[in-house]
Formats: sequence, C-alpha cells, structure tokens
Amino acid sequence: MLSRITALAVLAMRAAVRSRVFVSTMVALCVMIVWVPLNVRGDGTAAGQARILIHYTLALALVVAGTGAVWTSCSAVSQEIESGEIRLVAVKPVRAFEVWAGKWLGLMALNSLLLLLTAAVLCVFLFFLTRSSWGGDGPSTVRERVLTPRRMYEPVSDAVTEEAFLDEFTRLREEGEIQPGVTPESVREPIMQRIMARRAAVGPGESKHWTINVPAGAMAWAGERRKSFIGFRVASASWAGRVHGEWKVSSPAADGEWTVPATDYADGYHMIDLPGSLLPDGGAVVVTYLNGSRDESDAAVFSGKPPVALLVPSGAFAASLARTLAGMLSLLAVLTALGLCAGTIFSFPVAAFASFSMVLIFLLGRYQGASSEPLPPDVGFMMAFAEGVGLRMARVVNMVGGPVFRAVTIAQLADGLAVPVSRAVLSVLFLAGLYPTALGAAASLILSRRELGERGK
Amino acid sequence: MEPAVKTRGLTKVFADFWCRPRVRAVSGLDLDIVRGEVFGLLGPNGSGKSTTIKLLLGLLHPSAGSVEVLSRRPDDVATKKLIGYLPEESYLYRYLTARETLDFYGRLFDIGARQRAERTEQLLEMVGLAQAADRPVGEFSKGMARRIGLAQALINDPALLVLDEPTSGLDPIGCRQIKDLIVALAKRGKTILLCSHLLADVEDVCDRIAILYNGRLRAQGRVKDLLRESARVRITLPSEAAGPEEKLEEEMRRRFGPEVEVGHPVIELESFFLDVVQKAREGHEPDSGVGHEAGVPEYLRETAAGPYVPRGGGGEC
Amino acid sequence: MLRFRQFTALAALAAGESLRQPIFLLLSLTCVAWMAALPVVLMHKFGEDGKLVREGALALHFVFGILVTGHAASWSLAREMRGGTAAAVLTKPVGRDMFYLAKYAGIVSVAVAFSVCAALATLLSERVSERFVADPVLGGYVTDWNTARMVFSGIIVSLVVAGVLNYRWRFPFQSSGFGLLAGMLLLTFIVRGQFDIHGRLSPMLWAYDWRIVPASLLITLALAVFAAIALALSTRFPAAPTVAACCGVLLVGLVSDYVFGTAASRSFAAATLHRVLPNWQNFWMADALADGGVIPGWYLLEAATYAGVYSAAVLALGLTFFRRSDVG
Repeated sequence: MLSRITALAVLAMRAAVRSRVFVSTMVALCVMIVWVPLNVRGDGTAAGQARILIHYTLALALVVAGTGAVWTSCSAVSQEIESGEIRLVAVKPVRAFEVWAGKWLGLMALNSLLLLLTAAVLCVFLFFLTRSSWGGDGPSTVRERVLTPRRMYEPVSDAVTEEAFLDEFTRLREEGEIQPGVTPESVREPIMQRIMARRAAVGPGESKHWTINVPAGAMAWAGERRKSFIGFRVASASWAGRVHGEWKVSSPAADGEWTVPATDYADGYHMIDLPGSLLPDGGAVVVTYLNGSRDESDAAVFSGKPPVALLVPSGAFAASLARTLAGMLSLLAVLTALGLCAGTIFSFPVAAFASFSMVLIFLLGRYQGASSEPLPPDVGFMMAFAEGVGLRMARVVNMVGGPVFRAVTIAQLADGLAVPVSRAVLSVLFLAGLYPTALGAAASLILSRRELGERGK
Repeated sequence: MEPAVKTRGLTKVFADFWCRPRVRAVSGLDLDIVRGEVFGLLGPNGSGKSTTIKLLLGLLHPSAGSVEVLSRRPDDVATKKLIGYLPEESYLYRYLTARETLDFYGRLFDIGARQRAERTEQLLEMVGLAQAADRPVGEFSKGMARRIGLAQALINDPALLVLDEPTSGLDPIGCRQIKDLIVALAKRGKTILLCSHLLADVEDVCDRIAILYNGRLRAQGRVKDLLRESARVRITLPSEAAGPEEKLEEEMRRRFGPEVEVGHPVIELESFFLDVVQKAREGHEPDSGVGHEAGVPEYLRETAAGPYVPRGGGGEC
Repeated sequence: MLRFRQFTALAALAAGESLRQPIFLLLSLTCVAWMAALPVVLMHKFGEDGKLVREGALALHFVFGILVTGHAASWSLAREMRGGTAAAVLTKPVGRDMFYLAKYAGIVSVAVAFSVCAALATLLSERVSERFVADPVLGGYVTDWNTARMVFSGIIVSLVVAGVLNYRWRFPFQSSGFGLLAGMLLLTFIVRGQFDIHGRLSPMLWAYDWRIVPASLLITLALAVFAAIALALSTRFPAAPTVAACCGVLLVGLVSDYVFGTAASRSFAAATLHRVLPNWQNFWMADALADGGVIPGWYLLEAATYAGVYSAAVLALGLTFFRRSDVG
C-alpha cells in the first residue's frame, strides 16, 4: 500500500510541477516575500521592521501558497478525470483512498517545500537585521523585543458579575435614567458595556490594580538578558492623546516592589521592562497604574484585550517559528484536501470556484457575530426568515471554519509572543489530521462510486 | 470450465441530469468467456463494445444485471491485480517518460524494484521503444503511444488481458507483433478479450467471437462454427464427385485415398458480420449508435454528365 | 461577404461555447445574487447605503467580469489549440488572423452580455438601498423592498424556468439560465421603472441612478482590454499559467499608479512601465460618483480610445504570437 501511495504522491508532485502552477506559485512567492517586506516601511525602528518582515513574509507566503494549493489540488483529480488518465489508474489494484492520499501527500510535500523556502528567506532577512545598524534602536532591541518569544499571562478575570449589573441597573433606575417598567434583560447589553467602559478608564489621581497569577516554572527562560515585560494598550481621553502616571509592580511572594514613571505615553501599545529578580517563579504579581495627571479630562483608558499582560520569555524563536510554520502547513493541508475533494466532484473551473467560495464563506463566517442589528419591522416574513436561516448557517460555518483560521499564529510570532506547543499540536492533529481525513473519506467514497468511463469524459 | 468473464442480463443505461434514461448502451447481455481463450467482441460504432469493456473493468456501474470477472466483482482490488487493460485511446501521463510510465504502473501492482526494472526493460524491448525509453510519452506519435499502452497492460503478467482496438494506429509490423503476442499469451493459458473493428485480425487470432448491435448480443460462438455455412456442402476433391456427405467421403476416401476432405464451405468473417448487422437492422429497433449509412452523398459522386453541380449553381465552399 | 460570414460564425461559436460553460452561469448568478444582497446586508448606514451599494456592486462587476473574461479567453483558445479543434478550423479556408480576431470578438461579446446583467443588477441594487427622503408624508429612511423582492424572485424564476426548459425540451441549462437571468433583470428594470421607491405607480419615472451606466461602461471597456491580454497570453501558455499571468497583470495594473506613477518623474524605467502596463485605475470611476459627481462624456471617449488603442496593440502582439504557434 505504501509503495502505491508513494508512487501516486510522486506522480502528483510531477504533475503539479509540470502544470507550471507550482512554478508560477514559486515565482510569485519569491517576488512577494523578497520585494514586499523590503518596500514596506514600519515605524522607523529595527524592532518595527522585524515585526513587519515576519508578518508580511509569512502572511504573503500563506496567501500565495494557499491559492496555489487550492488551484493545484482542484486540477489534480478533475483534469485527470477529464483527460481519462485516471482510467488507467482505476483499473489497477489501487483503492480510491490510496489515490486520494497519494495526491494529498504529494501536494503537501510541495507545500512544505514552499514554506521551508519562505522560512529560509525570512531567517536570512532577520539575520541581516540583527547585524545591521538599521533604525535608531539597534539590533539588540530586535533580539529582545521580537526574537525572544514571550508567554503572555493575563490578569485575573474582571468580568462583570450579576450583582454588579443589578446594582448598576438599580442605581440608574433610582436616578431616573431608566424608566419604570423597563426590565433588566432589555437593557443588559448597554449596561454591561457601560460598566466595562467605566472599569477600563482610570481617572486623574485614581489607580487601578490587576492581579496576574504566574505558574511555577514560568520563569525558567527569564534572566538578565531575557527580560520580562508588562505590556499594555492605552488611550487618553484628553485631546493631547498622552498619558502621564506611574506603574508599580509588586510580588507578595518575592517580597519586592518596583516602580517606573509612565510619563508621556502616546496612544497605543507599550511595553515596560521588569528586572529579572523581581518576579517569583510561581505566585501572584500585582500590577498597579496610578494616573498622575491633574487635568480632569485626562483619563487613561486601558482598552486592550487583555488591558494589561505580563510577558515572560518562553522558549526560542526558532521553536516558535517552527510551530507557526506547522500551523500554516496545517491550514494548507485543509485547503489541499478541500481542493482535491471539490475536484473529485466537479470539473476544474467549477471546483476552483467552489473551493475559493468555501474559503471566502469561512472567512466571512468569522465576522457573523459583528452583525447583530435587528431587522426593521417592515421587511416581512420571508426576509426575517432568511435572516434567521442565514444567522444559523453563519454559526455552523464559524464552528467548522473557525479552527482552520485560528491555527495561524503569524501575528503572535511577529508580536514577539511564544506560540505554545499545545496549539501547534492541536493544529496538526485537527487540521492536518481530522479535516483532511474527513474530506478524504468523502472524496474517496465519491471517487469509488463515480463512473470514470462515462461518455464524453 | 470456470468462466473468466460471466455476465447475466447486463444492462447499462446512461441517464441525463434528471436521471431520465438517455441511451441504452448495453441491453441484457449474457456473455461467458472461458479461461484461456481468445475472445473477440465485434460490433459497429456505438454498438456497446467499449461500454461492455468498461463495465467489465468496473469503470462503469451496471444499471441492471450482474458481472463477474475472474469469479469476483469487477471493482474488487483483488480482481484488478489479475487484469491488464489497453484502452482505445492513450490515457497515459504525458510528462512521464516511457520507462517511468512502466515503472509507475508497476509500483501500483506492488512489484518489487528489481522485477519491475527487469520487466520494464523487457517490455520496452518487446514494443520496440528501448531507444525512446527516456522520452516523455507526450512527445510520442499515436502508434508509439499505443505500444507503450500495450506494455503497461502487460506489466503485471495479467491473467485476463483486455485489448480495446489494439491495432488501431499501429503500422503493419506493429499489427503483426500484436497478433503474435496474443497467440503467445494464449498458448500460456491467458484469457484475452479483444475488441476490434479489423475483422481480419479477429479472424486470425480469436477462438470465439460475439457480435453486438444496438447493445444486444446478436451472435456468439466459435469462429469456425459461426463462419460455417451449414446450408450448403462444399466438397474438396482432387476431381469430380457426387452423393451424401458421409457416404461421399467414405466413397471418396476409398476411391481416392485418405487425403480427401469433405466439409462445409466457409464464408469470410466480413460477410458474416455484415449479414448479422443487416438482420439486426431489419428488426427496426431504435438505434443508440451509428444509424443506417446512406451511401456516398450525391455531391461526392461522379455523374454521367460530369461532376455534381448543386441546384442554384456555384460550387463555393 | 464570405469573410464576414466566417467571422460572425466563428465569433458566435466562441461566445456560445463560453456561455455554455457551467462556470459562466455560476459566476454570473453569484455576482447578481451578491449585488442583490448588498442592500440587505448594508442596512442602517445612515444614508450611506446608496454609495456603499454602488461601489460594492461596481467592484463585484469588475472582479467577476475579470473572472468571466479571463476564463473564457484562456480556456477557449489554449484548449482549442492543444485539443485539435483549432487545427480542424484552420484547415478550412480560414486565416489565422480571422480565427484569432473572431475569438476576441466572441469573448468580448460574452463580456458585454455579462456586463449588461451586472449593470442592470447594479442599478436595481442601488435603487433598493436605504436612502433618506425628505417627504412630509412618506419621509425618513426608505428601502425599496418591492424591487428587492422582484430581483430575488427573478433569480429563482430564471433558474426554475431554465430547469423546466432543460427537462422538457432539452435546452442547454447554462445558456438558457443566463438568458433568462438577463431577461428577468430587464423585466424587473422596466417594471420597477414605472413606480417610485414608495411603490406608487408613476409611469415612465425611471427612478434609477443613471450615473452608474457610464461607470459600468468603463468597467466593460476594462474587460475588453483584459480579454485581449488574456487571449495574447493563451497563445503561448496553457490555461492554468495564463490565468496565473492574468492575475499578475491585474495586480500590477491596479498598483501601477502607486508603484510606477509616483516614480515616473525620477526613473525612465518606471515611466516606461507606467505607460506600457494597463492602468486599471483609468476604468475605475466609482469614487467620482460620490457626492453627486458624474462621469463626463469626454472622459468616456478618452477611456474608450485608451481601451481601443491598448487592445489593438495587445491583439497585434497576440496575433504575431498566434501566427508562429503550433496548432494541434
């Protein structure tokens, strides 16, 4: 069986290379991953440029390789059926799933090759960036901020409790903002948003605490050269758009406290260094922000999700890059399986259309939650029915397609965040394992039932 | 003897998008091909020969009836291990070389690397493509593609060889080689199903034949039996003779010696074939394949008054 | 006269073959359905619906038009050249030039047929979209749901009737489906033209945003240029690389102003590339319709001249390739 699958895999590779789609993809990939990152300028810093390099190079590679994967896989079976080549294979002692597995493995080998090429180009770029005097911050910042992956520890949940919601509802009703007769459920959403907005804001002279639990062993990679950070996203409510204040980080377990003035932070994402000795290897860390502004309108708003996070070094960049590539390869595995499945059912153009449409539908399915506006009353029953069916379908699509796109961890890698092993393993198991197996089983069943010698085929 | 191929009431109806019957390509076909025989399947264009072959190979699924190939279902992998198939057209991978093609199909049979290499070389020699072994099949002429197609059909030393128009596109030497090959394989006890329009080829090599017309079996039997005209008696004598066949033979042998032969006259297979088709047409059945030929069109005929001139004049293209 | 008959026969064959491809109906249906869904999806955008629907629909017209044209051009010529059909035609008293130009004419007529459908759907979608009406009785935000219902029903009816035609009389589903879709859109356009957006009968009112017509016309011109490029490429490459190369041409043409235009004054190479590469921005005038703007007639003429000259140049190049190509 293995010999047959290998033979078919090699054949699929040769067919893809011969069809020139692979070569076109390779050329497009080379042009994109070399030309685009070099011509897109970041924030002027070496760290910013490194982030752009990682993000653009990998994202472009994924788009180009993904398009190539769908295209090639769609043609792999459909064009063989059309030209009759598959007839000679079908009369040999080969099972339908062996044909499918052979083609899938062959195309996956090519996808792996494309990703390895991308990783090699990226590493070359990063190597030169860490050895050049590009930007004002120098190569050491690139190594510290981007090429040292960090695990993110979020604060203990600050979710709005039912009690807090009812207190707020009662208060608003007593103040006359809510009319008598209005039920709490009908105003739940705006009240919740109001409480969350109030919690995110730190007014002048006020302070806010976040407690972050650090598990034991988390600091194994931290040291003098591999610092930990507090990362936060802040926005100012004042017209100047600057935040003034002070950060305090304390650890009851390590019995230490460390203060840093947070003067003049512009709106956006920032990171502050923490001394290696401060953080305990297991236990709670309390992060406090004190808004030092005296201007009444100068509230600092921590709007990020999470608003504040502790970033602790975890593992090597190469390992995170490998896990990201594994996630990307898993996504390509699903796309290849999808294309092969479509190509088994339809002719090439229809298969390509169906596959790309499926990808588009899955992408759009991710945003279904964003549209929750109710329909106006005058639209009628049919439109309301269509809306209901559409929403349910979108939920199903999101459930099926969601994991496919969550496997992509390019943004985390570019932001200097560690990609956990568990995520890569789950991606490989689910996407490169479960989805292609399900699609392969369906395609094999169709291929074994399909009449390959029909008239006009 | 256990048949290599057995069909009972085999029917294939091609349906349209709405699942309505469009064409009845094969209708109630009962066929028995004995192991070790060379069997010819004949019929005019659209008579259902290729459809029958595809049904026997599991490429099409029967609408009704049953098929057994080597005592198993045709789509059983174990059956396919024992079959070699030469299709009517070249369905080979254009970008593989001749050697790679044979190696690839050999791998699908799980043949060991050494044996595969040996067989590849021998088959390339046999079909006369040793010189072109490293050229892509896409660059081959039709005849060369047929030769490599034949070679791939033999890579597994099949027990049942299905040849669809094997001599089509081949030069006379190639045709001769194919016939010699069929005879050689038949001697080794292989079963061969041959589908051809070239009646002389079929007559030369087949033990038994079946004639299909409009998806139905019109005639089946040993070639000699089918071509024997039992209505007339032919006497082969060194000189004049008379009387009943046995008596005559006895008399003749007594009188002229043991070399005297008395038997039935044999007609040409072509005449027999046309006769069967003509009788089938007289049945006035709706035709699923090529209809009644109307002879040479008028505008192509030479008339007594010179070349044909259409009404309204002008011989413009 | 004979040459004209040959030309029209070949062009009709090319067009008919493209129209009968399942992918053509699939693309046309998806495009029209998406356009029809735009006003429904983009509800409550405070009077911006018209602009968003218009721009969205024109973008769909452009993207799907490229797919339709690219597929028709690359598939028909490349496949015919390799499949032997082209050889069969060229052994008749038909010149290569005529064969090539007739193919182009056939593909352009397919692009025009598609564009007519897309333009009608754009006009109808824009009419459906929510708008603010300062009317003392029926004022406020108004959506023309009657037109929306008719468009959606038209799509369904055309498919059902095409199915019946195919079942009963064996009409080809794809081409009859497309013809019926175009017919239903035209019927909706004519019928709804006799009503105002509140649904009151107002004969010959034709309450459509007619400024969309020149914008659609410009996109059709872009498709004609694209067809010439795709056809020229398919004389050299098989279908798949042709489509890949077409995508490249499309992308480069879209960023031509940004990449080469900005550097044209400093670099000769950039200036040359800016002139030689097709500039799709010349045909994208949806932004010009914002805030009540119109596309002037002289611009249409200029764009048509650009498209004509560019297509002629690319056709001449393609013809040179085709004359030297092995057919069959």
